[in-house]
Amino acid sequence: MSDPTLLVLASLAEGDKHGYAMMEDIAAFAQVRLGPGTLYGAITRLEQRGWIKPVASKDDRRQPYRITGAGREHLTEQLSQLNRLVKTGQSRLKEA
Amino acid sequence: MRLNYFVARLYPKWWRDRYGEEFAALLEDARPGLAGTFDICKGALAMQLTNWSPKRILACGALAGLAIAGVATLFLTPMYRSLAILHVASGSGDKEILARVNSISNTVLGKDELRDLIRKLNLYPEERKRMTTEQLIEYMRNEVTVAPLDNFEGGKKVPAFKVQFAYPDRVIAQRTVWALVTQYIDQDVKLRDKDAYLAGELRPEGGIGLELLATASLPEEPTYPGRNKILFSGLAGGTLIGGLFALIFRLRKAPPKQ
Repeated sequence: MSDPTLLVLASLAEGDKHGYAMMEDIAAFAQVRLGPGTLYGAITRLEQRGWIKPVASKDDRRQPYRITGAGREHLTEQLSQLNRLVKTGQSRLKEA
Repeated sequence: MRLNYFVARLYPKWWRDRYGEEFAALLEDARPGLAGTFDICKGALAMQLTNWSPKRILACGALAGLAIAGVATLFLTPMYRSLAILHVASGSGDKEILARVNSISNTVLGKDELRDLIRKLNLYPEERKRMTTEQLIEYMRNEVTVAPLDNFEGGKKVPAFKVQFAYPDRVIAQRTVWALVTQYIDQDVKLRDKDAYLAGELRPEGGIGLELLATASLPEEPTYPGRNKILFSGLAGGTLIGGLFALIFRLRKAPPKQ
């Protein structure tokens, strides 16, 4: 899974996070280090699609984001597809 | 890295107004290196393109392609083209003249003759280090042009041929053309003698009578072979890439313009 938008959604599924926290979380769970341009490209697209939204924060500069209901639905759907792919791949490997 | 803050300014204004502060905070926390700088450049370009009209993306792609091709042409080796014109003295028909010139060309531009010429004039000293003799001969053959010309004398069309050769050194280009036309004339004389012998004649009358009309020129200005092709390829490639980008970014939801 290397689609930055899915990685960001998966990170926010755990809870609200700002950019740097997402970057560290993604590096920890997916072993993928997103660059700042890639991360904010994904954040911009996700916000435009209404899948994430900014939330109020004490820190003016480090803006946290939250996954929306639509974002959660999209993530669920994408993960189900991935899950099917993983299961199919694994069963075929066993058969071979 | 200060460079990252500078590169972040490449993002469009609407984006900087919305995300600029938090992006700067991310750069402070993450302190990306050179790979990060490249990533920011890529992100800024992508964000710029989402806000551009397809026509603008297409135009910029075409211009960028043309500019890259223009820079590439600066590295082309200048070539000098020397030219000589051979006049056909006999009254033979066009087909016969063409057949005879082709026959002479097969000998003059044949493997043995060109190999001797390359050695004699010390042509392509650098290329000889990395090319086989066959490759070198083919390479030289591609630089030689033998083509018919419309030549009029006293209002009457008199057939003629140009012999042209391109080389990075203008004096050597001239010497080579001179050697080539000499061989064309020699070969024609040989063929005429052979024809006369076969016909049982004492005097050669059956050939086409090649004569030198204009001697090998010493070229003043260089030419850059393939420059137009490179420029056109750059323009076409840039337009194609611009078109693809325009299509990709049109499929994405465009952010609001401000």
